[in-house]
Amino acid sequence: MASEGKSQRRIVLDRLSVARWGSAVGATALIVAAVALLAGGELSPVVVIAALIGMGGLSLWMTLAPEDFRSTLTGRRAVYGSNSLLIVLLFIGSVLIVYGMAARSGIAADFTSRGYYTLKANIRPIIQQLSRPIQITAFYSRRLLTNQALEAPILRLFSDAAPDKIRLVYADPDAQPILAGQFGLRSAYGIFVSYLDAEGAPDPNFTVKVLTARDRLPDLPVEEDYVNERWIAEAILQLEVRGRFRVLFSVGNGEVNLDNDATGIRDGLRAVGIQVATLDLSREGVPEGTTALIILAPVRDFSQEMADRVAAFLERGGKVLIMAEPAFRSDIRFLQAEDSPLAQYLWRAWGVRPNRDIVFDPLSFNETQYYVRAAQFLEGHPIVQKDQTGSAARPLFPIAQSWQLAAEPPSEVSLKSIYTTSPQAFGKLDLREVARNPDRAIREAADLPGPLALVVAAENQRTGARLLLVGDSDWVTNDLIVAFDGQILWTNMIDWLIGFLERVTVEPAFGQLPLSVPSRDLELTALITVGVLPTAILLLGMWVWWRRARR
Amino acid sequence: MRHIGIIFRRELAQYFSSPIAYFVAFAVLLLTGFTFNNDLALRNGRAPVDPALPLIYLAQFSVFFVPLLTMRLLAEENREGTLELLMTLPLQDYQIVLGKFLGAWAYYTLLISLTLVHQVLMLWLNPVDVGVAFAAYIGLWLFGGASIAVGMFFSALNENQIVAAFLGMAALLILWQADLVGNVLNNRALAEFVRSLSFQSNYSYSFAIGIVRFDHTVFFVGVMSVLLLATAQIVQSRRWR
Repeated sequence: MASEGKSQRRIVLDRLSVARWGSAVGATALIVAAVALLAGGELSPVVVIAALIGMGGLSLWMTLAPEDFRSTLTGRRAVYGSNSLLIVLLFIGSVLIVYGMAARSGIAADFTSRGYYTLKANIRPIIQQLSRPIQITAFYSRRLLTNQALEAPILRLFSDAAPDKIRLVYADPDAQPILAGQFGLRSAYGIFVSYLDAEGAPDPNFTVKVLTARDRLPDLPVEEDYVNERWIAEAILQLEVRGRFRVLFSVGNGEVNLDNDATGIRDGLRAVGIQVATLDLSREGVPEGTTALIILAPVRDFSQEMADRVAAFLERGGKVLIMAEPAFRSDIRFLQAEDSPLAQYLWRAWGVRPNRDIVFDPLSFNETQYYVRAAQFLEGHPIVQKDQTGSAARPLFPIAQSWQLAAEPPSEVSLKSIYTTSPQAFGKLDLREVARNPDRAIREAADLPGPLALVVAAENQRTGARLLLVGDSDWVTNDLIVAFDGQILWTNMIDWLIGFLERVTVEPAFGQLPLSVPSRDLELTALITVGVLPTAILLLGMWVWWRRARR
Repeated sequence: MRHIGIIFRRELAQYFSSPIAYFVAFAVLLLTGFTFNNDLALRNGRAPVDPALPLIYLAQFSVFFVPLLTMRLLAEENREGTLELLMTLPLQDYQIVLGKFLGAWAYYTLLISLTLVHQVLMLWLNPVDVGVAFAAYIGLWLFGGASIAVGMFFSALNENQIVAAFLGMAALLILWQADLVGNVLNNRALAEFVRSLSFQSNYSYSFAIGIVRFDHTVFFVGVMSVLLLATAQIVQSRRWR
């Protein structure tokens, strides 16, 4: 009988069923059109075709079954149904309003025990003492919305801490390429802090890029790139000190050309916001507001007047870095004469003078012995620190002279030899002989015995003046600074002189230690979580099933 | 409240008298256990443990197992005609829906509380951030409530439990994956709006990292409220259909 009944079933295609199918297809097509319009943001062919199908379907319904259409809109089900729909829609609207208010309020509770999402105590004063209002511009492309969501709580820490001083703006580098270009952004992600100009827009001349994890690990994919609270704070500090540090390079005496041979060190200083300019000491003294004076291997010696100007700057607490080449060429006369005014001042006021030699170190493993790699260093001095582990930078000085330190320096001066050669090194005083046989230097009785001082640091306790002396300048040229820890030594020297990093560095928070447990502990954990716990639940379930089956 | 309490107790008791709930719990704990141990092995000697990680896995698994818990709540009553019987009792429709919802949520709460074992083991292995774990549990609990509300909504729409479960899983999967909508949509404003409806973005980037955000809390409570209201309207529609 059942099979007979099945065989008798027929599909009846009457006006009403066609009309209802038309209404269903039409409604679906209208929904598709709406979704396509919202997703694409334009009247694409898909939107138009779907809308036409939708209108056609509904017209079919209205034409073929006008009674059904009318009763759907006005009947009992329509009345109750629309009431229900209205109630739900009203409720959704109310929830959306509350949600919007909650999102704007930014109320959040940080449950992390280290207060990871609370502004750290050492960062709060930086925000409170901001000299001018700033804008944090955070660029995330559309495919990095997840990264934006993860970093939003950290970025909000800053804007919430000082809403009147810090404005947080999100931007899409793909949708706003001109804006991204103004910040020099070439990728999908980047965060910048800027002072605002007179019109309230970010000032490109006073903008600092927040260094991200990818700046430290270039192989990191952009999707995994991130910033943290400390790095943002350091960028703000860099912005705040921008223009406050002014470093002058002396010119006019045959110094290393900053615009040609040593552009790297000049641009490096500028990149972190240090003002760089030149000064001709034969014309004027060191102006007020100068943080440091750098004398980069002049060829001609300084006159008495120029030496006096250097001395005057040091007397008022100035910081000076002098690099002096040995006289391996006949034209190099800087500090070479016995009566050199600057050399005499250095010996008298600071207890240090050039040995006027050329250093050879047999232990230097480079091609020639006069390419001297620093063999010994003053343990723990900030200038020699290579990284946070405490290991030391080992710079290379091609053709260097050494320095003589007074056995008893002036009472106010603390004098330290930072880098020295090995004890086997020697300083050749007969420079003509060296010039004749540069690759066959043999130690002789007249030579200065090692270890010889290559870098000397001095500090006047009364005035606070600092003096750094290096017996070579080739290591800061563009070709060599990238090799043998040159960049590290340069950065450390500048930092020791002017205290830049301590002004722009925020102490890192203590991080959580990695998991470090023996494998037997992991095995026990696996036994409990994969074995005991699920099995206990399974046995309980089987017991329940068995009891039910017995009933 | 008394009526809601009666329905709640009845529903909760049904979970514990049926082996299905135990088997679901077994599967969930086994999966969580595997992912948890795999993560520990990967981190050993390399990275600190993250107390929220087993809970994020559990949230992902919820997409699939919550509809299994909710599929019968109203679909079964619909198919067997017991919903009509319930509606003849002096009960409001919302009381039926709320009682059933609370029963399912209580079962879910007990299930996630079993993962406290994982937290204790993590504490034993390595000091973990208990605050992060606490926030992650609050979030997972709200996440579970919203997922149950989604599942119940589809259970009310269907008489067939399998269809209800399937639709619930599909909806939860979309709500979870909506976080990645930025990769597909060209319209950034729309992408951000859709993303804000994602369960993952409202859980993984706040509760799971140790922050309890008011807007994300409102989101989950709002989803629960809207869907429970819609479910109550569907149940009520049987009176006038």
